[in-house]
Amino acid sequence: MNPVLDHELALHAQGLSKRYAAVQALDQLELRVPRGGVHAFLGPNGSGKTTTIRIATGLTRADHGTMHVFGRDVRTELRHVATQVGAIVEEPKFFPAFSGRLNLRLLALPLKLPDSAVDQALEQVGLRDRAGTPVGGYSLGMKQRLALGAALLKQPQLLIFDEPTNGLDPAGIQQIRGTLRELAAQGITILMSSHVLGEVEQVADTASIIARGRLLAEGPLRELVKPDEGSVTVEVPDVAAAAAVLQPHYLVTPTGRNHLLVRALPGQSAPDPGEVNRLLAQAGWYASALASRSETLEEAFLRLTAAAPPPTAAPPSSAGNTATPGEVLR
Amino acid sequence: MRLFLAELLRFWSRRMVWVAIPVLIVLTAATAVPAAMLAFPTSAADQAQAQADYQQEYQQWQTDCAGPDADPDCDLYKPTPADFERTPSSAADAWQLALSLKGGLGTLLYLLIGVSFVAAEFRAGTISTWLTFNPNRYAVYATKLGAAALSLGAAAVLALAAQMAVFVVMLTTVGVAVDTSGFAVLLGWNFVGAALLTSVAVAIGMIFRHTVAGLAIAIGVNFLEGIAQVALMFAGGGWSRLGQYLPGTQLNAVFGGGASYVVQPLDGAAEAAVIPITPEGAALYWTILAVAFTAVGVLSLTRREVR
Repeated sequence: MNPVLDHELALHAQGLSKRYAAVQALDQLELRVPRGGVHAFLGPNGSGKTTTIRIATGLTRADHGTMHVFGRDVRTELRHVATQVGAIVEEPKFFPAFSGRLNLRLLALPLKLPDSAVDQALEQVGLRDRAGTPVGGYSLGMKQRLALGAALLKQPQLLIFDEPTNGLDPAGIQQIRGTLRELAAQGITILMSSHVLGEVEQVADTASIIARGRLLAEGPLRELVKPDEGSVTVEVPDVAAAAAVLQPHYLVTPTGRNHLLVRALPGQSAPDPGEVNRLLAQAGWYASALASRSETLEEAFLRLTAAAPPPTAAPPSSAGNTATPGEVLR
Repeated sequence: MRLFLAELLRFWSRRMVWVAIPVLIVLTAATAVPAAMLAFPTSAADQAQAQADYQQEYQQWQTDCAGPDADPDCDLYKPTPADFERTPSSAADAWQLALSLKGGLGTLLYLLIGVSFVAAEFRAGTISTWLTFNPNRYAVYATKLGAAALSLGAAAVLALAAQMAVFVVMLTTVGVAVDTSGFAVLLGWNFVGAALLTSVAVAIGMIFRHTVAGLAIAIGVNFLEGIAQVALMFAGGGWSRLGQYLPGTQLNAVFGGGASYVVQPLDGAAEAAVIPITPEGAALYWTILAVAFTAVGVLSLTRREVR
């Protein structure tokens, strides 16, 4: 990532550490979220994403390090920061017996917002018709939308969304994606954490990847993906024979009855489709199709998290859902 | 102020509140009915019925006591007209009976609503959403406490006022005068009692973050208090007087506008001692308790992780 000045950052974490008993949730985390656009916050389960978001919203205090939102220290200026940040932490949480409208009215009242603002927020997320229904009867997608409506009540400059498409059907995912892009176009900075990397690729401008509570990489998506980490897909009539020809030169994985995925051996550059074709032809095999593809975000994510260094502190002995690099690769 | 209004709105939007408080008011008012009826003057119909009952009983007595096999002590059982006449209670005595019938009708309810008002937020996880909107946790605690205490204090006043109204209307309708001079003060003590109990309930909800756990603690304390009461009585001497300082006894004194604690010696050798408990002293006792619980509750909200 290019050097970014502090005033250009919506969120800036420096040396952030947090420990829960034996688990080192954050370990000197550095995080820079530029103003404007959609910033993806990626990491395996237990990597510290939610802890970071909880610190940014004042729900948790860091043991060490600082967190600034639009230049203001979250620890000392939380009241001011809270007016600028709309957040949906983990899953949407509402009173199930209350209607969607009442849930939002309760949140709007201390903000001195009129009922019309609540109706507007409900309209914005497409819940106006179901506003009088108890939230307990909402689907997960409706709850996600209501949570987004709640966050928008504050007219935030930074919207933090933890797993925004979790549990949504394809139509719901598309709707949330569209809403996030619209909000970003209005100048709101969006920080979204997600596991669905294909989803992230479609909506995010920049990303930070963390593992074991540490930053592994950050920057525009296109810079996180290595062009020379690409691969070649080959369609051949006899997969086993073609694989035997290519295996001395590349990592070869059958991906179908007639398809092979050809990747570079460790330390070598990405395979060249022409070279792959030549090797096959020399052995008397001819590919019916050959396609070069660059590294996907998912592959970049797996590559980076697999190479994550071990934590400096004592390793978590009871980190239930902390993924190890080995687990990620499998 | 807006935060407080939001908490009030949330409190009064809860289904439990809408069901439980009207039920409490109706039940409390209903306790006035049998008590007031005891103070009703006897009517001509009552007297005629008493006379008829007497005649019937007297004839039975005559039959039983006639002849040689009659009980020699028959005269001792001879019915008199007075045995069948109802003597109306005084209005003051009837009111004391009404208050004792009401007893602790509201206390478990105030506790339940107070605990669940806070614990439900932790269970639903909405407390974290609330804190991202209102990050000042001291203000959040104060407004929750204020809304619950004010609302349940008002509910206690309404319930008692309904009981008073039923009692007064019933007796004045039949021409019995009721002295209502102490009613306003009693309403005040009921407000104070409910508010103090709610403060403790809110703190319990904040500390345990679960309605059932909070209630289990409250019921457990009540149970232990009963055991302590008996144990102190059996210990005798100065120990038996300590029972007056148990929280339940003190709370009853607040709600009743004062109370008497009776120390009954088990051997019956000495006379029972009656110890008066003033509502002011009892309220001070519960204020100290409420402040202590609130301090722990505030620490729990400000220092512990909120999920």
